[in-house]
Amino acid sequence: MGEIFVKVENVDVLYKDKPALHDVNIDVSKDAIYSFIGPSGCGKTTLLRSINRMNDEIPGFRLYGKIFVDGNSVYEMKKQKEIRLLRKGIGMIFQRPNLLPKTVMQNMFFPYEEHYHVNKRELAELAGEKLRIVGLADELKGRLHSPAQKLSGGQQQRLCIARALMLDTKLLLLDEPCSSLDPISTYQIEGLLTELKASRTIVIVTHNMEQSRRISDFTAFFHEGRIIEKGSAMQIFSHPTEELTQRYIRGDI
Amino acid sequence: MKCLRKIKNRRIASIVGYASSWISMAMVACVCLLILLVVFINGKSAISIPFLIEEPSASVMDPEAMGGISTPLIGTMILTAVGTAAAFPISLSTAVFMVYYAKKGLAGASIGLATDILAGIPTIVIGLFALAVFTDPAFTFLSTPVQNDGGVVLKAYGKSFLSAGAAMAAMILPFVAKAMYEALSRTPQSHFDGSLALGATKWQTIRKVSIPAARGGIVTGMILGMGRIMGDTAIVWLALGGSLRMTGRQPWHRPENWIDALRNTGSTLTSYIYYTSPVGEGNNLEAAFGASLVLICVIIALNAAAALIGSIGDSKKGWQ
Ligand SMILES: Nc1ncnc2c1ncn2[C@@H]1O[C@H](COP(=O)(O)OP(=O)(O)OP(=O)(O)O)[C@@H](O)[C@H]1O
Ligand SMILES: [Mg+2]
Repeated sequence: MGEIFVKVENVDVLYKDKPALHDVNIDVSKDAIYSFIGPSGCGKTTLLRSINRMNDEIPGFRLYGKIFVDGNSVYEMKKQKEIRLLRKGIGMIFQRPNLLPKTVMQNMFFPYEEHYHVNKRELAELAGEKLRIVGLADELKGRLHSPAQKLSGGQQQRLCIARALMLDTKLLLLDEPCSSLDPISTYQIEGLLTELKASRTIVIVTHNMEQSRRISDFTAFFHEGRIIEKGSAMQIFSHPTEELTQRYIRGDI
Repeated sequence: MKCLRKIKNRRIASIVGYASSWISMAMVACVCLLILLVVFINGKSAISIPFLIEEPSASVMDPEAMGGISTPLIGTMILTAVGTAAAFPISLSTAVFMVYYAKKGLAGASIGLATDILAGIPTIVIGLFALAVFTDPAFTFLSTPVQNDGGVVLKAYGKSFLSAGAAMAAMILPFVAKAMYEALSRTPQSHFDGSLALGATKWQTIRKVSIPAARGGIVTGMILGMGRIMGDTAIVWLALGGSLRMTGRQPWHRPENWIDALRNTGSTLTSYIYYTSPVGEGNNLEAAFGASLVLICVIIALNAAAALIGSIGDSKKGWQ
């Protein structure tokens, strides 16, 4: 195991007084894919969104313990500015593509909306480069100024990834990014993630066990707010040690 | 047997339900058409170019020399513009506060309660309240000063386009804020989250993502509020007054006199209709119906605009 990029230490989460996570510990290695699996409601999304403090707005959300991203203690950040900088360094992809009702390019520029000093030409070049990474540069030739929401679901989701990459993204958090996509688009995104991990750390929540098995280096199995088993994905999918994990992988829970 | 009867009953029930909903729909349509028809038949003979572009004369009662409705028509526009200008920013900020900042706290609950109560206050009470408040000397800037022989300001006159516009804004605020609240609540959480995740602040997200997404509903809500302003009479009568022509420095339409015209009184189509109806002093039914026809046309045009903008907003949405 190499360097650790995200470290989750003794984390407990409550919504109002309802516990959602209990004593969670995870070390996410740099430049690898870590997947969270487990039945619905077990806390996967809660943990993922805690990493970039996206739960702050939820009334009654409380987190105990520590989370470190690239060595910085996320929940010891006090200033809003620090939190925003943290978020800018982390790309987040949701279940459904969330492009704005604007053109492809306007969506790509959105992360720089408030940066008035940035030169439009440089920005367009940067956007072109990111679109190439996600394989959309050729596909979308001539459509860069047409509405982003006219693209196919898979293209939209890849565009969301490209948009997240516009900032200097070292970490990508994906919450069931393929759950609304067809198999071919899913396959493309999986290939893309495997390429991206060469220089980025990726955490993905998935309900698709096959997907988890195909792309992840490490896996954690969640059940009712606890981590039951974690480690190398190969190990967990071929020789799970806990009975709950075995049952989940067999499809019994 | 029993089973068959049940099916039969069910069929009858569905026929009754279908027929009653159809009848009630037909009745609504009939009443609407009837009103339009009566107004059209009685009002169309009054409509002419001079009726639209001439000022009302002092003797509205005389069909030969009654003049037209230019100042009431323009008064309706001015009052709607003033009311909209006052109500729009307040409604939008109330809605934004309620959706994004108040959460389920005390502030949100009290604003919600206050707007509900305000929505239930009859407009004539709002007009009375406006008159009582705006005659205070502190509000002289909204209307004109009333002085004694020595030139000392005793009180403000209280009635003016600005006073009435402020009262109109208070009247429509709860409805417009509610419509904007709903438009903003309908914008998807995932876009809000997406923007925050890209490092935008909450305020930037509201400005750049939420408000543009809710634009259709926001504009529609505002237009519906404008329709209410155009249709109200009680506030006009109390807070704007009953003089059919523009008061203040003349000619009122010269740009240098605009501010003065806003601080003075005039009329609207509704107060003109009241004045020329059999209960008013003017008692000229034909003129009243003519003005009604014009008012209804303006309001229908406004509603058409609202529907159009609403559909544009929807087709651009596609943000599930
Ligand atoms: N905003 C919220 N307010 C209150 N409780 C919440 C909230 N979000 C999640 N929870 C609760 O926290 C627990 C964990 O939810 P979470 O969404 O993290 O599960 P999940 O593993 O992502 O499930 P799924 O696979 O269905 O997406 C659940 O019991 C859920 O009801
Ligand atoms: Mg989830």
